[in-house]
Amino acid sequence: LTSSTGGRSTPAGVTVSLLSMMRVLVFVLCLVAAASATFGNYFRMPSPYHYSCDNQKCLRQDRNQKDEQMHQSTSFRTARHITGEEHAHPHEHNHEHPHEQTEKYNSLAECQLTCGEYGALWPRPSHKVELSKRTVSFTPMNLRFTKLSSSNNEVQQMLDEASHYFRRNLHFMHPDYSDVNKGPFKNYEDDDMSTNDKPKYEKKSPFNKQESSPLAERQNFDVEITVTQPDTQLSLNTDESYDMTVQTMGDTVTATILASTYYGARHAMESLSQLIAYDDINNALMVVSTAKISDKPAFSYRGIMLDTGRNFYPKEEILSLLDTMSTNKLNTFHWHISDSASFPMYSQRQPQMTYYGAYSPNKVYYPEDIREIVNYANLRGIRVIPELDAPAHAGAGWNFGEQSGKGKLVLCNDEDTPWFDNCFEPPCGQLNPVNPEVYNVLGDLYKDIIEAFNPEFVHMGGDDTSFKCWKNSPEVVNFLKQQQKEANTQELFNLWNTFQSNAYSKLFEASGQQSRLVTPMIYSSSFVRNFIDPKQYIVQLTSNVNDTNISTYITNGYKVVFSNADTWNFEGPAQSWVSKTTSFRKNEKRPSWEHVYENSPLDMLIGMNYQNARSDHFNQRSNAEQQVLGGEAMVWSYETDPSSLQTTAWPRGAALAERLWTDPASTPFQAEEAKSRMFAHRQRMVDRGTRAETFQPEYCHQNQDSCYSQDEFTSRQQNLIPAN
Amino acid sequence: MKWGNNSCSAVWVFLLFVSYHATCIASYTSPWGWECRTEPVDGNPDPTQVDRCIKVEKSISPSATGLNTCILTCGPHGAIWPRPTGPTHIGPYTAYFLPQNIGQVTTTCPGSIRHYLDMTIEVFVDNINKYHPDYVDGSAPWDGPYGPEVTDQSLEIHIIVTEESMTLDYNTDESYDLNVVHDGSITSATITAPTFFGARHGLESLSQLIDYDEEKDSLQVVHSAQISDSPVFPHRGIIVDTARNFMDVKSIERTIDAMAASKLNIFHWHITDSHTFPLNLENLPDMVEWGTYSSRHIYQPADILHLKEYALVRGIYILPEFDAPAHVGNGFQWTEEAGLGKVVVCLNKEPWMQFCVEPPCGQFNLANSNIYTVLSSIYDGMVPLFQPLSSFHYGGDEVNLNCWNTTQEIIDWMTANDYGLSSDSYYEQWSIFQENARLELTEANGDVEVPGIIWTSSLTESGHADQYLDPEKYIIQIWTTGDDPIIGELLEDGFNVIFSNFDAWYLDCGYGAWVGGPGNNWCSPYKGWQTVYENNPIQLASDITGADYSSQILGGEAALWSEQVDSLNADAKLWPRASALAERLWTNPSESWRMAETRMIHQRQRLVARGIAAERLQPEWCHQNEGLCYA
Repeated sequence: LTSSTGGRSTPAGVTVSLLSMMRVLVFVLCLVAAASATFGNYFRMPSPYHYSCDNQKCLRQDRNQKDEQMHQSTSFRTARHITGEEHAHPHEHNHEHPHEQTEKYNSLAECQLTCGEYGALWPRPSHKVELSKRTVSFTPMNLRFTKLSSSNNEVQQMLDEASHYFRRNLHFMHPDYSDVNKGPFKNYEDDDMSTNDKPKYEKKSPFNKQESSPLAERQNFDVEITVTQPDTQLSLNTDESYDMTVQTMGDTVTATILASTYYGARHAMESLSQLIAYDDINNALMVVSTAKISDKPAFSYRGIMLDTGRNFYPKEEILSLLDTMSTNKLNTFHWHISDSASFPMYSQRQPQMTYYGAYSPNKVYYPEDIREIVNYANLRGIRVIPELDAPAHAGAGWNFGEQSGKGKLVLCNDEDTPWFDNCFEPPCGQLNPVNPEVYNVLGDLYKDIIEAFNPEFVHMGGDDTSFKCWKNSPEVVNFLKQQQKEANTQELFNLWNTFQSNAYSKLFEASGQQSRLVTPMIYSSSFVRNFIDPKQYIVQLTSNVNDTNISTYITNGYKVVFSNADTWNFEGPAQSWVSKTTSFRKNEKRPSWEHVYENSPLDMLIGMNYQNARSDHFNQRSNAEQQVLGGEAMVWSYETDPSSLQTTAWPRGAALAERLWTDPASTPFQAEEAKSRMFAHRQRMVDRGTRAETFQPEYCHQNQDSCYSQDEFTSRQQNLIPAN
Repeated sequence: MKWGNNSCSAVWVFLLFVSYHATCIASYTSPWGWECRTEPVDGNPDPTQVDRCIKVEKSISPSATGLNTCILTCGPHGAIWPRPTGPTHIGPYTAYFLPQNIGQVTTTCPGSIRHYLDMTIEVFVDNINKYHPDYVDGSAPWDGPYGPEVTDQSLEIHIIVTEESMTLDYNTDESYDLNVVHDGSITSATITAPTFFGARHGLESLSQLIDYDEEKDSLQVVHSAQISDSPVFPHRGIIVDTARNFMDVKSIERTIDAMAASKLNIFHWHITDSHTFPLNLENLPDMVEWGTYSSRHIYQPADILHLKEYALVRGIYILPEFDAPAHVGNGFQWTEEAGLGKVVVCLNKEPWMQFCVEPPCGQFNLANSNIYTVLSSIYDGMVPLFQPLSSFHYGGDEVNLNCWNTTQEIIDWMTANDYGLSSDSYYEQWSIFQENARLELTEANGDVEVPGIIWTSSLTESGHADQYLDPEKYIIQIWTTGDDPIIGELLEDGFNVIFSNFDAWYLDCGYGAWVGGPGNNWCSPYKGWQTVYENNPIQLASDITGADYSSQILGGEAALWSEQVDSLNADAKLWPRASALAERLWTNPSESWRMAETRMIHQRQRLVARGIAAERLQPEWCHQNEGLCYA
């Protein structure tokens, strides 16, 4: 069976007429179709191409082409090897004789698993990777977790869930696994496992219905996981490292994972799943036969922000986002819950906020939804950071104040003044800093947030505060007048400080309810630089790349998270949502995944004359002492909602993930060199049910050395290796 | 559990509710409602006033309705997209009904088209079921409980069609009249149209007089309306490229669904390119075997026949393109072994930038007369799948003369035949190829000539077009900028044209460059919906020529080239911007986009309800607060 589907079927010597060749082909195709009928009802054709790994890239070749011809046709490609790179990786012995020792792979997927130093791993491991050049086929039905060892009961349960999640993701690799059955992983616990029945994801799996080749059916796959520490919550100091080996002895593949914490172990399982791909020829999976990986992240804060204030996302959509984040070992979900446009979080203490503030009764996050999201995130190695943006970006919901006798809680929220006279975008709204009731309501909201999220960090927002709004508000002007003050910039700064200090006290008071300390976060601004204590807050830097203010934060000792507006802002495509000509775009360009990838916080600091930024970062005794905690991509929802969230966030979020996990060196074509792995990883996200956007014709993936620009061409020509 | 009308008591009730049932909070009724009001428009548009749905607190304005009810009935055109061109009256009230209470449906028509009318009615019923937020897989839970104000109501539909043609071409009359009346318990809709296509558009408009009612969990229909409508342009299309990346059949169906929702009528299918040949031609299986990305990236003949029918039922003609003599490549590798010589030269040749506009390269081998053997086989295989042909697209863009002029076989042939090696010599041979291609296509089509469409290219450059191409036989599709003087020249030469000027109607622009990075793709920036909407072909032509060439402008197409598009993001890149194109081509409005904004946002919501992942244009706040997201 294997040989009839796998072999190139066109017989040699077809030199006769077109017609007779077609007859032969049709006949062979019929044979093949018949032979593969047991696999499924789709049309399966032998491919006339195979792949070989050449200089970290998988190149497509005509199976029939003679070797000399192949040399000739790829001579241009071979000449493009960069001398420097060869020296950097002396163990890639294939480079010396690129053609003699090159394995021929039946499929791109197989080549991709083993080609280059990092195979198809994304983000690429930061410490050690050794991958063999061979794969072994197996069926996921033969996968067993022979050991899940930890000293803690809760960790044990988490590992058990993660093992099912891992197994389910393997089933998803089958190209016939229906997309409608791919969604958040929630229901396996409902399955009746007591009767030794298969879980739902396995019942729906094509592997359950279509036979694999006998060879794959005989292969065992054992996974052993050992976790030594009892951590069940992520903190900045959580050890996310892991060691993993894969060995093949006879008919058994054994993957051994060793990690301090659950979080390292689950990252290891992600990596293991990336050593596996679908094997079309055997209708099975294949795994790299031997591998050794030692890995840990460069940054402890690797995040995505989602704005659910401007447009609403159902819970399922958020769970899917968390799934894809976990595929990328991202560990922080920053949830910008509310904005002036809507207030979708249900507050037990202040239910009017939702009643007046939600877009509709169906667009509300209830506490049990939030708890489910937080728990789901934790299982995927992700912390959730709730944000309640204030004093600006508040409006919807807060307008209940007057009716309920609390006075004006929010200012500038009416429609009498054009929005551009009061704020930066419609609708305006800014909390009334001189109404004490505001702080009481804030305190209640913080209490609700802390109960539902049990967070490590709470984001207090603090961006886009408009002095115009306060200046235009009689409440504020009169308040200042009573104190013989004018509404000038200095006084308004002081007023902001009063607001922020009061809000901070309320948050501190609210956090007294939970066991762990809450650290507040705030967006960078001139206010922060003037008033905020570096010891109290973490600052999220939203200025453009190389903005000189960045060095002010660093010099003054603020702990920072990078979210540069021009590279790590995943806003919508046009940003012209108020008119054809008014664009809110912060930057001419919509950042592509390459822009995202190449934005290196530590290199930015080195460029600002902090020459030791990298060594300082990696020499700290603990993660929490690092000044650059990490980075975060921000998905603002002006032009994004569930229709386009996934294509907006992915694969760009994956580019961010490798930047923050691996901290790859800033070489001239760094993204270019990652491209083939990125394409494979994008396909993996798609197979898992994520609508990750494509960024090239598939041709470029199948011919990995063909889609270069004039710049790359010129630059590589200058580094030509002399022929032979 | 419902909120009362009085907000104070409502909050109290809510709190009680919460304390006892914190884990099973179901829902509450929103305090907000909407009222239709006439308001001034910002700027200096004409007209200066517009009807808008204004968000109000229901406890203060008891007559306020749900947002959908307001949008269906507010303004002279309600929620109809594209805006009707003839006299239109939309009544101020809606009647509830349930899909299971669609009563009498009659069709008065020639027998041969009844089958199609029945199918399009099925599509209509499915579409209105999709308005339910919990619609899944062909059905929605219309479970109630419902009061008599819902269950006593029914909808009747009467369709009258006079002609029996099922051919959609430039002479097809797509007009219709729709009349909706209400007599207490029956809402009766009558559609009168000369053709099936007009009747289908009428049903589409009827479905846009209908929407979901959140409060009653039922459907509602505007219960008195008269619409008289017909399109300004006969060619209203989008071009989808399935060669750079594959689009699966489901995503093509979704694209066709969305087109139908906007009364677009041409699905221009750029099936092949130098990257792939994903079409399985039964008479030439080598093409797909060598040309596809994988065995799962193939259009089988049955897929094409299915899509052709699927589109026809939705009032859409699938316009096939086989791009040649450039943009050919992978798929043709078999010809040498088969004794036909090289049919494609420069195939995957490196460095690509010397031989083509994007990798991979490939161009027909002018020196090899077997190209016509293969071309006629391709046409023979393709044509029956798409018949009856109303038109055919020959591609004909972006020929790279350096490819030909560096291929020894071609140089020898040009020299031996004394054709010369100048640019003009090559253009001459290219135009001969084009004429031969036209003859082969006509033969494959049973000797029935159909209008041929080709892209603007070097052949249509200044002074070339009338020299190489016959205006009687070719329609030119313009992709250069909208102010390119060549547009004037083509019109003056008497060519009929289709606009796809990239500065407004290329929907793949504004993303990262796909060769080399970081940088933006060549046609950046992104074309916002307002730009798409305001691109007016008749105006562009008259700006260039100072004359009225509207009779030679057949219409336009938005293009979605697929270097960075596949099944997963096509919806969001096409929609709702292609709906903006649709109103330009159906209605050709003289007003600015601002006057269409609220209908546009609602059209986007409608597409989402119908299962299309159309992109958001604005925060939902702007949908709920019409007119407040101004600049």
